[in-house]
Amino acid sequence: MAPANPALSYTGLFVLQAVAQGHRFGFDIMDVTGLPSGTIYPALRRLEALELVSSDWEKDAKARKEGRPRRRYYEITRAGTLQLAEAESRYRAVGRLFPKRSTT
Amino acid sequence: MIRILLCLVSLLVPHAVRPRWREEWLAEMSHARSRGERLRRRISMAAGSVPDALTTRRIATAARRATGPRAGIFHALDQDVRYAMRGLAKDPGFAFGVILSLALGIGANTAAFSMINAAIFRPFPGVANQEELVRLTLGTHDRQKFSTIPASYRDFMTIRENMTTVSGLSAYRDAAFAISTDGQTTGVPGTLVSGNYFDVLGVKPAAGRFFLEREDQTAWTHPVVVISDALWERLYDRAPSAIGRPLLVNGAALEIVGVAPAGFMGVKARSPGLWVTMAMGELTLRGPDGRPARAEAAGPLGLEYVGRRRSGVTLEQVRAQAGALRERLEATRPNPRARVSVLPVMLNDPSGMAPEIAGFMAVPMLVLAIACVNAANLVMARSSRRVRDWTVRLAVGATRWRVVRQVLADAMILSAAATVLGLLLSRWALSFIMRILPVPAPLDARVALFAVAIAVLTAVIFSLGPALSVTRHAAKRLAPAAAQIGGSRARSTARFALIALQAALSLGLLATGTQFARTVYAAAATEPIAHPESLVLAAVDVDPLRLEREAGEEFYRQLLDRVSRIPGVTAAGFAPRGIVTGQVSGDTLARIWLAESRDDGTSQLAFKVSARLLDAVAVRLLQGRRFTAVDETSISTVIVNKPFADKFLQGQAVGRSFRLGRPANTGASAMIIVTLDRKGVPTYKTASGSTAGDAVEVTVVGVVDGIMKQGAFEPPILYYPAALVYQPARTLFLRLDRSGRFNAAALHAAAREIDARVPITGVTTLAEMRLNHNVDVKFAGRAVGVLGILALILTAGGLYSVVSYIVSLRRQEVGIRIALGAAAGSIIGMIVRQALLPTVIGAALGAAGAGVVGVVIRSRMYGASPVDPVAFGGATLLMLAVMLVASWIPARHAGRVDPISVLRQE
Repeated sequence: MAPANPALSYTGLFVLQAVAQGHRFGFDIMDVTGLPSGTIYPALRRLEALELVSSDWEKDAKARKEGRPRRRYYEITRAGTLQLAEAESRYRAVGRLFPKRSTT
Repeated sequence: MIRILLCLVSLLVPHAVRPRWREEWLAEMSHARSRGERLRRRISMAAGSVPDALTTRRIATAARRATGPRAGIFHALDQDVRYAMRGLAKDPGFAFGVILSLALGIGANTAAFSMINAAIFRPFPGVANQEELVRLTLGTHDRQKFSTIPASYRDFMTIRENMTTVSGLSAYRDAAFAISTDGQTTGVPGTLVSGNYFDVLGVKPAAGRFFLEREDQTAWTHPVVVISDALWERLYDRAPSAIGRPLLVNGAALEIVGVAPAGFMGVKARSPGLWVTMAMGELTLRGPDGRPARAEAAGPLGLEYVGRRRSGVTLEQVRAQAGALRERLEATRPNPRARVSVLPVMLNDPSGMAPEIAGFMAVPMLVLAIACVNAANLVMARSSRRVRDWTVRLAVGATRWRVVRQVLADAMILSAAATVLGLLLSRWALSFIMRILPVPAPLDARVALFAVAIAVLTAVIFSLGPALSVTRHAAKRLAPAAAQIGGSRARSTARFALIALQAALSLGLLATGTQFARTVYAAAATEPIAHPESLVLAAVDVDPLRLEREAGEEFYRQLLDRVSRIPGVTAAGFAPRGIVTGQVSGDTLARIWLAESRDDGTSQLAFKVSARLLDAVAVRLLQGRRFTAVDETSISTVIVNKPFADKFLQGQAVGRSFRLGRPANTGASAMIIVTLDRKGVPTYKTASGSTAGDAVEVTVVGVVDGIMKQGAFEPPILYYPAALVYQPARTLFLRLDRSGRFNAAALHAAAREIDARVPITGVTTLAEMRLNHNVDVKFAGRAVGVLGILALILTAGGLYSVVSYIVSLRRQEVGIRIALGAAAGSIIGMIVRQALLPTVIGAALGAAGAGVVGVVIRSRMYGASPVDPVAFGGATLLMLAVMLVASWIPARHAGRVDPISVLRQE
């Protein structure tokens, strides 16, 4: 059972957001966030332990056809979506404290 | 390379998720490669697997801790252990006291158990797959009691032919052999075995080979012998050339074909020096007529059987088949109720020994109980000091279980340390015991398991009670100041109850031990024979030589003549050994018919003695005369002892006549039933009695004093000077002069001059013999005494610690008393009185318990004295004195309390 309101780290939020946007496995998330692998994977583990994301394996047949090991796909859960929405609003509030500087 | 790195890193991941973890990473790396990433980037990406593995691991352990009730109970156990270690290190006196007392208890138990372990479960050396072996015994089943029947060779054949569940059945029988080397003859214990004996036991020879089946089929065609490793060493210095050499055994030259492995003793606690086939049984067996006979013709031999179960056959199946043998045996045997029992092969069968084992273990268990009580006392004393700590822990939300668990962790650490120390102590004790009783008792896995089991049990017993009671108190009152004063009375009552229990246990042991020792030594002290140190005994046996009766008698006549002339010998004679030991055998019982009796007479102890034997033994003549050489020529005179004269001849013995029958003379295998009536007077029955027709008329010529006292009692005995039957084995008695010096070599030389083939064995003085007699009983008495003293020390230590604790607890009260004018002496007296009261109560209980034990021992042990006031009084006084000192030393501190400092603290 996941805790009622788990504290989510900045990277955790990043990764969760990436998964929510359809980046479904480690390498892809790495590519899009630019975070190193040593950060991405532990974050995925924690998110999974908190039941904010769930994982599934790629179909065996497909991987075999392409001659590579099957991949592990991550997907955001319902709790993950809620959590993300809540965090998003929180970070937006923080963002308002830092008004955009004029470039001029 | 990346693959290898990942595999190595995956070792960090918990086993359950490792394959999935590895697969995911391999897939990711292969994806990166297919995307055309450079190697450098791929390596740095793979390096990320390390933090990932660590995270996975941490999440998995956290999940394990969080789930399941078991995990909950032992949550953060390492904390408890660390905390306990720190606490014990801060309180070394407590730790030392508990460890030492538990180590003594555990050590005593481990030593006792390893002796039992050695006595029962120790495998026989050299025997393969002992668990497959079965021991078959022929006997009758009578009122829940199985008594063995001496089995004949024919029974062996019947059983062997019909036992198909056993892959090989072998018979064996103990026998005495004499071997001659270089003109010297020595007696060697041996075993007569069927040809398949070594094959059935699965033994591998140390040299040469064992018997072949054909070597056991016809007599004298294959005169072969297997010798023991010890004999190989002694005679041939382990030379391989010994195989094939002839060895003169009982006068016959046998070819040595093989050597048994070192320590091999078959499946019996006896170490034979050589093994001879049944076909050569004539070397040692005698028929009913007393002449050498083959195994088939020798009648009841008392054979023992051992067989090996076929693979897949259970013990029950073997039993069932043995049960079905009954009818076949009935067809061939006169005894209709004969049946075969089947038992597993063990050194000692534990099934019939439960009372002995329980008795043997009871005493060390008592010591352990005392040690536990002691440790519990110390734990309680320490708990009271820590109650404030626990109260705080409970107050800030610790569960009671968590606190109890802390105490148990303490206890486990202490008892683990005590077990290690106890094992060392028991090793030391065993090496000491082995000097008295040479039984190898190794500390094997079974013993170690036992030690660990009792250590855990001990830890729970000595700590759980105090832990529960103290935490209950602690939970009730969270105000620490009140805790200290209010609770002390209740807890000191419990402590003193424990002290009383300890006192009872240790006095019980002490008194029992003392009584045991006194019984054994009192029996040794009543030596009826004067100067036992100058009476020499030696065993002579011409039986192995298969001499005719006349030749045997001639040998003994010459031997007596020669040894009488050895300087320093004042008198010499022959008699059965039973004359001084009271051992009964077939040829020491004769039937007598008194003049007035018409019935079939009564069996009494009767010893054939040579004319000067009674002089050699220096028995006191009460009436009449001693034997002379004339009496030896034909049987017409006897000498009786006083109980005989009183019982059968109304005290007027000299000149009276009665008829004397021949002794049974069936050798050692005869069944002799000795029954004791209420007063301990024995009656003897032999399986075969002689009839009145065999009897001769004898006249009593003298009455002598007793030489065979068993306790305070001596049975009626008669001595006769001329042979009624031929006895090939005799004991030589030599009385030495005042100098007491004796040259055993002269005795051996005297025998050698007459016939070099006759061995003289067991040369010893009576004093030595008595000393070695009942070694085990003496040992048991000493062990109980030592354990009793151990218990006393433990109890004294316990009382000491409790009193010093009480004194520290009552410092305030004592200070106020002194301030109000109490003298130091009266304060000390008060504390000592309070401490001694439970000891006295416990002592009374313990004495009562020991009294009960004494009565039980008396009923079980022949000649034990009734409850002994000296033993009891002595033990009680000793204990009270020790307890007085143990409570007085700490009580003195109370007298030195400075009232000013106490009042200042108030």
